[in-house]
Amino acid sequence: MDFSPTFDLELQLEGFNGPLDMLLHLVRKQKMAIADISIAPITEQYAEYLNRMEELNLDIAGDYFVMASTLMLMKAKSMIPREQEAFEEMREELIFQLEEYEKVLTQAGKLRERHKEISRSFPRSYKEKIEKEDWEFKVGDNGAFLLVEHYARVVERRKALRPILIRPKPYTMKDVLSLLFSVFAEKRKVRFSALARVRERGFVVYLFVSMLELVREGALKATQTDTFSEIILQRRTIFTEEKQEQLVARFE
Amino acid sequence: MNTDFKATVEALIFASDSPLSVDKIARVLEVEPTLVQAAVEELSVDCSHRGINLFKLAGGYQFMTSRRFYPMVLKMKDTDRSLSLSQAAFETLAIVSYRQPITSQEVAAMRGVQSVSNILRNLQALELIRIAGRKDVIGRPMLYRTSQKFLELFGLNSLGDLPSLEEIGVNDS
Repeated sequence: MDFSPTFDLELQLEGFNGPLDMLLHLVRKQKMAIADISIAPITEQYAEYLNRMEELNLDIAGDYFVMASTLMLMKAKSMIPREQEAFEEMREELIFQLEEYEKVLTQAGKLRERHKEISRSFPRSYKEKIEKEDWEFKVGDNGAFLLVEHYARVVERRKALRPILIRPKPYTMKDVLSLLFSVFAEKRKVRFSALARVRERGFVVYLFVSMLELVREGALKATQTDTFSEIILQRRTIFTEEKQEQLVARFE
Repeated sequence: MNTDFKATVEALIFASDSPLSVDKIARVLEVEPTLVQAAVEELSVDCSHRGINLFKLAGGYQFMTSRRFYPMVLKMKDTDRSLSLSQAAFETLAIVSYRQPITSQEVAAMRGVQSVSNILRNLQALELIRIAGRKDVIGRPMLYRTSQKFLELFGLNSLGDLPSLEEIGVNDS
């Protein structure tokens, strides 16, 4: 049985594809022709299967219960003499449904084979998906659907093309570096977290880079007692304004 | 037959992304369709022993690799061309293809389930089926049909090529 993420929508109860599939399985198991189906035993077996599924905690689709109640109603009718006619009618209906379903199964199998067969041949792989082949816009009775289909495609495309917004940062490396200088003009010792507090990620990154730069230049000393622990920044020297400007200018 | 003419037809079919119909070729070359038909048939014979064969698909012709070399081509391509559809999806597709145009309700009834709308939506997304109008009954439900792509992916020239039940030994009365 094929399972694919996109099509695994139908509950595959023990591999059954619905109540008719299960019923057909039961009929075949009894080596019975569909037309000879006897309702009472089938109803019982069907109910048994359902119970077993419940025991297995399988999530049973409502469709299975609809069939179960139909079968039980038929069984009940079959035992009431004046309901004989109604029973026969329902039985014929069920037989018809099963026979039709059996055809569907055969046809589905046939389609599967055809598809497998043709899939063994490959077309030229280059695909130019420019939608202009026979681009005569014929609007027939179904013009509205055509329109909706094309509209849906446009919406999809727009989604795919939706731009990624890149906002300019409200500050620059220069600003952050200048800020560090002004902080250390007053304080000797500052915790990194205190500077980074409530700032957004971009700012913290700038701050960290500025810090590294100042450590390298010997303006600050950074200490950390443990991995991921607080970084403590200490001022080593106060740079002259000239030197400060020089450093800031690097980030122009 | 003029060899150049045949070669032109060959070039057109090769250059097309989807099966190219005889009528379309005839229109492009401004000749009678019967001429094209004859050329196409010769081409088909010509390449029957080659690595690429001419396939009659979805009302047209298309060059595809011969299935004899499937294992090798697959090894090169690394991806299978076949769709992976669930049994439920195949059943739904079978119902639509054999009984079109058909409503979602009618499909569900044939499968003995309450609803097949999810499966139909997925088949539609795969471009295997399409909406072909509304049924003139109360509620005006949508009618579904198979698409051109369905014919292509199932190796059919037309819906008439769907294997009949008699053909597969089932009595369809």
